[in-house]
Amino acid sequence: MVEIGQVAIVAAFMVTAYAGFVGFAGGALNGRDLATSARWGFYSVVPLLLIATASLIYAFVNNDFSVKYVAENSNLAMPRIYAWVAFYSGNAGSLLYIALAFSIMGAISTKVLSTRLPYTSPYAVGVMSIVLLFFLGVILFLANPLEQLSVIPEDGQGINPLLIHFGMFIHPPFQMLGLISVAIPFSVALGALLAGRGGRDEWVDQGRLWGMVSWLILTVGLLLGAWWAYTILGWGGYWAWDPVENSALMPWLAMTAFVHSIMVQKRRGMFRMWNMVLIITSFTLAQLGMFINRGGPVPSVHSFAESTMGWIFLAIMGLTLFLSVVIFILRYETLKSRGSLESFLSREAAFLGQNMLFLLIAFVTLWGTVFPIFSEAVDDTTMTIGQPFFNKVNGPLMLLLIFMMGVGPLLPWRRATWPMILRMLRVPLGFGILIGVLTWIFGVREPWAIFSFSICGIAVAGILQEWARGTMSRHSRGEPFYQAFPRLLAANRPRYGGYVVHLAIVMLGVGIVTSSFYDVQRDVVMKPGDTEKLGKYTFTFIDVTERTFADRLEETARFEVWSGGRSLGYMYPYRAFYPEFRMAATGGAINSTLLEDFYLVPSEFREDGQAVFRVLVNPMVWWIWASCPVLVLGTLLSLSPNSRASRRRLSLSNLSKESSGTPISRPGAGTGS
Amino acid sequence: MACSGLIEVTDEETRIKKLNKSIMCPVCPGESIDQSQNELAGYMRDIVREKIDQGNSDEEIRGYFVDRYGPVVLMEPPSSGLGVLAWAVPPVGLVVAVIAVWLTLYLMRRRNLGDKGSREDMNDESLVPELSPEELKRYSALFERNVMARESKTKTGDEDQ
Amino acid sequence: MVVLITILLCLFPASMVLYPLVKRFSSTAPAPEDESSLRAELERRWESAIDGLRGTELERSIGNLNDGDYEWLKEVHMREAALVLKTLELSESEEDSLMERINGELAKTRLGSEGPEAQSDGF
Repeated sequence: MVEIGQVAIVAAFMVTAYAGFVGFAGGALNGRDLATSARWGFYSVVPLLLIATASLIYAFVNNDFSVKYVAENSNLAMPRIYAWVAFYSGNAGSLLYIALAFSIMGAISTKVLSTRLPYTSPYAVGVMSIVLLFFLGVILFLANPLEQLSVIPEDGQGINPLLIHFGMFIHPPFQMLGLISVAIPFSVALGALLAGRGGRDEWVDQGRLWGMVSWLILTVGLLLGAWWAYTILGWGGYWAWDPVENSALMPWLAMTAFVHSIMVQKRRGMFRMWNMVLIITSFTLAQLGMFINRGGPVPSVHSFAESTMGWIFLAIMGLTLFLSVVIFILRYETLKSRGSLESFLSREAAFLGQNMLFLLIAFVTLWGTVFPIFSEAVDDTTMTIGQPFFNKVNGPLMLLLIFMMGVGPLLPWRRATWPMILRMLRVPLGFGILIGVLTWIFGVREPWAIFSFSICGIAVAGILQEWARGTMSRHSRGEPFYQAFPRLLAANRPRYGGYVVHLAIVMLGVGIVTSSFYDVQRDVVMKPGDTEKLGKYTFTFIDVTERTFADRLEETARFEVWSGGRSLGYMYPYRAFYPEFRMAATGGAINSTLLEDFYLVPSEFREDGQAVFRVLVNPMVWWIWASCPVLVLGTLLSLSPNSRASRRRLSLSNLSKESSGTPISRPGAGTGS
Repeated sequence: MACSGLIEVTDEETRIKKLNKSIMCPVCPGESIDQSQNELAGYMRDIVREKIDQGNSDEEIRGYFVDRYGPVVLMEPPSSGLGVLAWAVPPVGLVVAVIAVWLTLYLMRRRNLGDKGSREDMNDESLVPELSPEELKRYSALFERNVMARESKTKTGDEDQ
Repeated sequence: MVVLITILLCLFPASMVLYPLVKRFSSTAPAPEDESSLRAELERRWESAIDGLRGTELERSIGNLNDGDYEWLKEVHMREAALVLKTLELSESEEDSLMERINGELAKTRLGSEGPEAQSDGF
């Protein structure tokens, strides 16, 4: 079975190389059959990689320790279902996962591209094939998950205990898929450039589609990661500006900029060069992300997929960047703008400013992430750049971003006048100030917190203002309220989908701001029977239960908890020690409400029966997770396609047939088309 | 809001928390001693408390740890020496970004004003740029009829923004 | 057994890539519309003009635009749509006259054996 998987990988490698070469050839020679052959070759990679994956999972499920990767990442004690997690938990396996996921996504996008952009798609397939070829090459020659050992061990080393959590079923796959998915809009854009078809915005619709899909996956991956860190890592936080986290954030920032500025190109034919630059930057940052994830040049809490081969990723990133820049320079003449800027005060200009802000944040994040290496190289002293730095620097920048998010959609296209802007900003600004005052009245004294809430207020008010006015105007034309709003949404899906996403971001922002400024934490030493208080919560430590499993020793504490006078029942924070890994994993017990989370985590169980617990009250954390489904909904709404009925081939005769008047007379009219 | 659950936190607690968040646990990469549950972190937290009781200032406490572990133990770079560079780059970046945006917009605007004749279709030889007023009227009429027809036929959910 | 599967695993992608080359779909299926063609460009511009008009109407009904700006924006979009229509008309009439000429030539060469039916073959 293992051999079958290995053959499958080799076959996949060869056919991918074929698809790359023939794709470009088909495009250049205008050979439709060549292009089809390349496409079908790319499609055929999917079942091949599925077979390879199946053989690996089969080896896991059957405890086949002759396979080196299985021996390193699982053991007899591991529950079978974790074979899925073990599959991508190590370096070689995660590469296979990425190759598989990318081939599936690439196949789908190739199919769509072949109908929508028939003459660009051969080049796009070529680019996608090269990207895939890189991964398959690394798998084949450097890190083969199906490599076999000559001496078969009795038992494997086992899976990293931190990975035994529900979140690990979804966060890493999503995150890795998100990073590689950036290659799809990149392939479309670069393919268009190569095909010489970048200059008439042919690729923009598909670029927007795949860009938004990629962005969505990246966003969900990030939120899932934060959620996993919060619930399993047990330090009561969800984001630490850790290098691996940052490496996922940077491409997200660039892609967010891209999905906005691509709208400008779609609408006005502007920013053609800028969008190319943006998508190349996004993909480069995604590759950098993969490098940091694997290479471990900067120490991180996260580096479970550590290896020394990160440098090859860096090399490929450099090569991709170099080639992209060369192609861009060769073709940039075709990218002159169609439309032009009519005013500094316009949505186009605001988008440019917003884009720069996103890139600035990405740059600052990058700077902070690599500075330790830089200081080491220059001064021989390693300096740490930790949370305080990033919070102080990126915090205000992100606040500025939320402000722009609130104000931007109110700016009209092309040009705006000050009276118009002031009229539209009246209500949101007023509401923001009101929020600021209210928070002051309620006792909030942190200036940054007040400021942040005000800005979130502006953003919310701007959105709700338009929704209200739109609904009212439809109502005044005869629609009942309950119909007016849904129809308003349905008739303007991209616009309102965007608003829903912005609302989700405000939810996220409010959750982050409140929990950052107003979290409370205490370490307490308790013995069974003790009762402590934190805020309105009272908790009694009842007992500890010890359980021994094949691979770990688990100590679970039982608490009874009250909020005010009301009983919240029992909570069971635990700590598990894995002797083989010399690692301890903690599981916090969380009681979550809309307003705050009560969080209990054990730090230490002592010999004398006493135990040290960390207790936290984190306000508004629920809103962070709740923003995710809202965001997904908004993105899907924004992406939902036009109904087919309204798509009719554009022609004069069609138009004149539809109209009630006489058709336009044309010289030498035939039977019509 | 969350203020109903706002807990009374003493100034000293706040100070301790801030200090703890600014010192890194040397054996746990990237975690502050406030965050880490490692033994050493707990030990260091005790030292911080002790020194505060003894009346040391924040600077002195941080300096104590730097002497023992090197500057790497500080979560954020100091404002002297190479650390200045770390802090300086972001604001400089902001200034550069603002200038870049302004400059780009200025150049785009100037190019627009310069080519008064061929505003929309600068790169397009394919579309005919001239449109006489009668043509505009004729096409607008056709367009209105077409668009009106479509709009009245479909209620909602059919069309898109 | 393994050898057999190996052979199959190699034959599968090979046949996938060879099939289109053998079958030569391009000789039977019509060429897809070029996304860079004038018509495709016109379609895009048309959609953009329609979207723009709809957006303008929406902004007007919300109250984001005053009368002057609304009229101006409407004209901008109308102009774009009109340009599309004019170009379309010109290109269609070009196409029509071209078609007529070709059909005329065809009719001449077929010496009237098929006659007028030769006209409406697709192009």
